Parts: sequence; C-alpha cells; structure tokens
Amino acid sequence: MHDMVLEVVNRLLLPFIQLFGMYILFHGHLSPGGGFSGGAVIGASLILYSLTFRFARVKHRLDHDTSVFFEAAGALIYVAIGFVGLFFGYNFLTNRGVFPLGVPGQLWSSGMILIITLALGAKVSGTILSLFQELLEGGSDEHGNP
Amino acid sequence: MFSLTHAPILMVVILLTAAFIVPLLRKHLLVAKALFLGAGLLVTILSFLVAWNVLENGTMVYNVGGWAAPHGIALVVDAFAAYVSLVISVISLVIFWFAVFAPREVKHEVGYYALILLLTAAMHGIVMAGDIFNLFVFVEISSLAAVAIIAVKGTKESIEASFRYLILSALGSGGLLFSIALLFMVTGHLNMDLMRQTLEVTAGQYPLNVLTALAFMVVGLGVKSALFPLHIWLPDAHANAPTASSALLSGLVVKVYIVALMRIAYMTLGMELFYLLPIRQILLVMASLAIVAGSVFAIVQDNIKRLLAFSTVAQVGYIFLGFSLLSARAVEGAVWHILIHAIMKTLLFLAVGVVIHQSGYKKISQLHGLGRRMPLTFACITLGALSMVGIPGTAGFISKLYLALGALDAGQAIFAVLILLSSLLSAVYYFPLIITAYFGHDASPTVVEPSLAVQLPLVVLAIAVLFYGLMPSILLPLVRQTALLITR
Amino acid sequence: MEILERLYGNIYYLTSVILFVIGFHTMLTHRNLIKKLMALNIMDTAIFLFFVAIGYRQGGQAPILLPGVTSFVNPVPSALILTGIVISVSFTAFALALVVLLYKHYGTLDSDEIIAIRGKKHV
Repeated sequence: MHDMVLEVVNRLLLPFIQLFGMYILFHGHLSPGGGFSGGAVIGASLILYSLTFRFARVKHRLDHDTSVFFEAAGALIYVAIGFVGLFFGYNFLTNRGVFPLGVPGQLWSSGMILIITLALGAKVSGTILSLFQELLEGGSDEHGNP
Repeated sequence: MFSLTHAPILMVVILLTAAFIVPLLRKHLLVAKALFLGAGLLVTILSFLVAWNVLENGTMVYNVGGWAAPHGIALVVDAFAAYVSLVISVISLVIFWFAVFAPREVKHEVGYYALILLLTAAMHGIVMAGDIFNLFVFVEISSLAAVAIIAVKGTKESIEASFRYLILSALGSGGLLFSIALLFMVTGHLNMDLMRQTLEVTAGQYPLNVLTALAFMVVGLGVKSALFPLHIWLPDAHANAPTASSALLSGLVVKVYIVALMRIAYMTLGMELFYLLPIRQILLVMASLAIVAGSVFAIVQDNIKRLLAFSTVAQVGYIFLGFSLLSARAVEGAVWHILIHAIMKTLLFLAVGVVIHQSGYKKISQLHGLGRRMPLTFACITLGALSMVGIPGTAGFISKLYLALGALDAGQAIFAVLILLSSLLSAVYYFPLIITAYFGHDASPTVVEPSLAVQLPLVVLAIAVLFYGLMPSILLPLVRQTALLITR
Repeated sequence: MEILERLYGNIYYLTSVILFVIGFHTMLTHRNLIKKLMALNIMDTAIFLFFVAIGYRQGGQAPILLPGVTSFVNPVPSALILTGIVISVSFTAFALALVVLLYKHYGTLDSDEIIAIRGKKHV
C-alpha cells in the first residue's frame, strides 16, 4: 500500500508510540505496566510500521529471524538472571541478597526487576511481531515461496 | 556446584531453556537434535536423584526467589511428585529419541522439538507445583503445547481435531480458574498448604463456595483428562496426530491432569473434605462408565490409532476408579497404573506408528500377514496388547491386580467384577489385531523393518513391560509412600 | 427484597457469573468458529472480573506507594490477572491461526458444515 496520508501520520506518530511503550517498560517497578503491557505497545508499533510501509521495504530490517531472535534473547536473559541467584548460593530468581536494591521509588531501584522487565518487553514485542509475520506469510513457507 | 536442593527448579528450567534455544538453530539441525536429547537425558538423571533424595530425606520444599510461604511461590516435591516426575522424564526421553530418529512426519522440525520441550517442562511444573496459581499457569502452558503438537501435522483432520481440543481445553481451563478464584475468595492464600490450613476453619462457614469450586475443578480437569462424558475430543485428537505426539499425549499428558486433581485434593482441600462431599460416588460412577464405554467403543473401531485412543479413555477410567475407591491398595493400583499404562500405551502407539509409516496401512483389516514381514515390531505390539489385557507376567497384570484387590478391600466387590469384565472386553478388541497380523494371508513384500535406531525405544519399552510384570518391587517404596499421602 | 439487596451488594460477582455463562453457552452451542473464539474471550474476561472484584475494598486506592494514602486495594489478584490475560491472548492468537488454516482447507467457517464434509470423506 502506498497511501500518502497513512505514511505521513505514521512517521509523526510512531516515535511517540514507542516512547510511550518504553516509558511503561522503564517504570514497570514503579507504576502499573511492566513487561507485558510495555512489550505489547512496542510490538503493536512495529506491526503498524510493517503494515503501513511496503512489506518488502521493511523486510530487511524486521524479518522473521530478527523477531525470533528477540523472542529467544528475552527469555534467555530471564533465565540467566535467575541463575545469578543460584551462583551466589541463594535460590533461583533471588533478588534480595544478590542485586543492589536502591531506594524504593526511584528509577534505578529494586535490583533485578528492571532488567527482567526490559527482557520481558523485548520478548513480548518480538513475539507479537513474529506472530504477525507468521500469519502474514501463512500461505508460503520460510523462504517466501508459496 | 549445584547441590541437590536446586534440582526441582532445575528440571523445569533446563527444559524451558532448551525450548527457547532450539528454534534459533533452524539451520543447524544436528545441534538442535543433540540439545533436545541432551536436555531430556539431563532431566532424567535429575529426576532419579530427586526421587532417591525424597525417599531418604522426605519432602523437599523449594522457595523460588528466597521468599517463604505466604509471599512467595513454593515447589513441593513429595513422594507423589517425585514418582510422577520420574515417570514423565523416563517416558519422555524414550519419546524424544523416537521423535529424533523416526521418519519425518512434520515439516518444521525444530518447532516441533521446541513444543515437545515446552510440554515436558510444563508437565514437570504441574506435578511439582506448591502454589495453586502456578499450577494453573503450567496447566495452560501444557494445554497450549499439547494442542500445538497435534496441529503441526498439517493435514485437514489434524487441524480440525486440534481446534476441537483447543475449545474444550479452554473450557476446562476456564472452569479451573473459576474454582481457583472461589477458593482464593474463601481462604485469601494461594499457597496450597496454607489454603488447607485455612479451609479447615472456613469451609464450614462457606460451604457453597467450596462445593462450587470442587464441582468446577472436577469438570475442568475432567475435560482435560478425558473422563467419560467429557472425552469427546480424545479419539480425533490422538488418532490424527504425529506418532510421537500421540504417544506423548496418550501416555503422559492425559494422566498429568489426574495427578493435578489429586494433588489439589490432598494438598489444598484435604482428604477429609474430599470424603465429606459426594464427589467420590460421582467419580466412581463416571469411572465405571468410562471403563465400559471406552472398551465398547474400541471394539467397533477399524482404524488402529482410534482404537488405541478409545482404549486410553478406558484406562483413564481405571485410574479414576483407583483414586475414588480410596483404600490403600486401590490407590497404589492407580499410581502403578500411571506408570504402567504410560509404558504400554507409548509402546503401542510408537510401534503402530512405525507399522503405519512402513506399510501405509491404517486399518486393522489391511494388516493381514504383516506380522511375518516385521517380526520385531509386531512382537512388541503383541507384548503391549497382552499387557493391556492384563495377562499375568506382564506389567498390566500388576496394576489390575492391585486395583481389584483394592476394590475388595473397600468392600465394593462389584468393581472387582467390573475390572475382570473389562479385561475380557480388552481382549475382544486387542486380539483381532494380533491374529490378523500373524495369521492373515501374506501382505506386500516391500514392507521392511525400520532402522535400528527406531527399533531401540520399542525394545526398551517392551523389556520394561516384562520387567515390571515379573519384578515390580523396584519402585514399590515410592508407590507405598504416595498411597500413604493420599489415604491418611 | 432481601434477595435484591444481596444481589445488589454482590453486583460485580453477579455480572461476572452472567458473562461466564454467556461465554460458556455460546462456545458450546453456536456454530460459527469466530463466535466460539469471541465467546472464549468473554468467558476469560468474566473470570478476570471475578478475580479483580475479590480484591476490591471500599474506599481503597490503587496499590502504589504515595504519601498520604492509607487504604489500598488488594494487589495480588491484579497481578494474577496480568498473567491470566497473557494466557488468554496466547490462546486466542493460536486459535485464530488454526481458524485461518481451517478456512484454507475446508472453505467454510461453520463447524457443522466442517463435520459434514469430514463425514462425507470418511464414507
């Protein structure tokens, strides 16, 4: 599709949508939101980008392998953070003795929750984008051949 | 480096990590297969160590994140959890091997391995959960993965069967979540031990809440574990799935939900409550109907896999019968049957899948003479069928013996008669399979035995059937302790 | 009159149960596959409403630490529901993918017609 109105409006809106999504992510431990909702907003913005601009133009940047990689990377970072607690002698996914807890209420506080929120955001946005791409190429196989 | 205290969570985490790494290895298929088998082997070793530890030192409680009971999530590994975890890991290792070496039935292999790893991780999570909402999350993961491993086959029937399974399974999950909401409303905790302690006080004050919660929970988990009137999705789903998926679903997944129901019953509600409410009689009736109806429906089937699927309906009835009779030997029989039916049904499904792939025939009437062309495979099928009927010397006899003795112990001799009659019905539908295979006129000469790597899981399972039939005393301490947990 | 008073006092639970039954019934009886999926979502949303209503406390504020707020709503059910919503979204996404494939294979979105087509093929 090559609709002028859609392209211009998207170029204006997309940075704000992504900024809003990142705000929800970064304040996950302070206000409502967190990994799932922030990741969903960013994933929706990526779908909007893929839908508006021609899919071929987008393909080299947001192709299927990239979204699968983000999905897996988010989950593996989560598991790695859990193992950090094991290495220090506590139980899996421990926060209190292992990570530096700051003052509750500030941005850089609560240890691992911030890192996990960011990893979850990457994973959820990768998942949403990957699902969209799967449904889009539903008639063709992995290399785009029908 | 890791002491044995972390083993429960490591079992789930290793399988989940492998499930996240495997889809990235689409171009390096050998590495993906090695990772798949390696994760299964590691988890099997861990579950043996955990089972030994539980026998020596009693129940293991693991607090994720270091937060203790009311604030945190706990994993409680008692004898029941250790036993079922052992069953899941060993049988799933055999199925992993088969899925790697058997001829390809699915297009996207690494996705299939990732789904099987997720399903196995979720099953371990279900049996070890100590927090009821954690149990629900693992139930959902396993339901979604179970539906997905049917749909990967890609044919028309498999997609329709998996859609019906998805709808009914989602109904069951809704019922389970509703019952969790009702119990949370009454107790205010989500940890199963704390809920039981609170329910001793509040169940008398809010009887309707607890009754409704129990009803929704039995219906919800009954739909997922295919108890008799709620089994409609099972024949289509298990018959139209790839072979390894059918074995995994019939052998393990269906029974893990029964285990979840029993764990909620004795850890959250407490067995006294279970005795008070009329749930035992209802489950007894439904289980008896399942045994009879499953066998009767199986007799008229011509498609081999549908016959095995209906047989699963009947065997699930056995397990429910054992758990509702609630005498010591009946519960031991049900717990044995979880293991033994897993071995037998996996053996049958894998061998039948091999036969279907090698010969292309899906119906019993087309199998004439094939037993002479594929001797080893059909020997395994014969052993599995004899064990399902309950011939002494095979493993199936042991569990049916315990169930019948338990029925006599509980004073309800009619169920012992029912078990004997159903063994006769099983013979009616299993023996034509064997007789047609060995004594029919000869089939096409192009049918050959599969490769050695594919025959290995069949032989291992067949040896297990004979081993548990002749020397069942190896796992007896675990089974005894499990029964004690439930019938105290 | 007392019945109506008690119903009004539990209005959130009553609404949740009505929505649950609507979703349950539609999922089982209606034939269109998309309607079944919408009913699945309605049923799940009803249970989430039930859960969140459990945590509600009269006069409580949102559970965020701000100066001067003393009475909070119970945050535990809300946290559980976040997980539940994600599960519901995954189920819906997977079911929609299956519906797309079913439409491609059978050409219809009516479950009775699909069963009829399968029955004809078996014979």
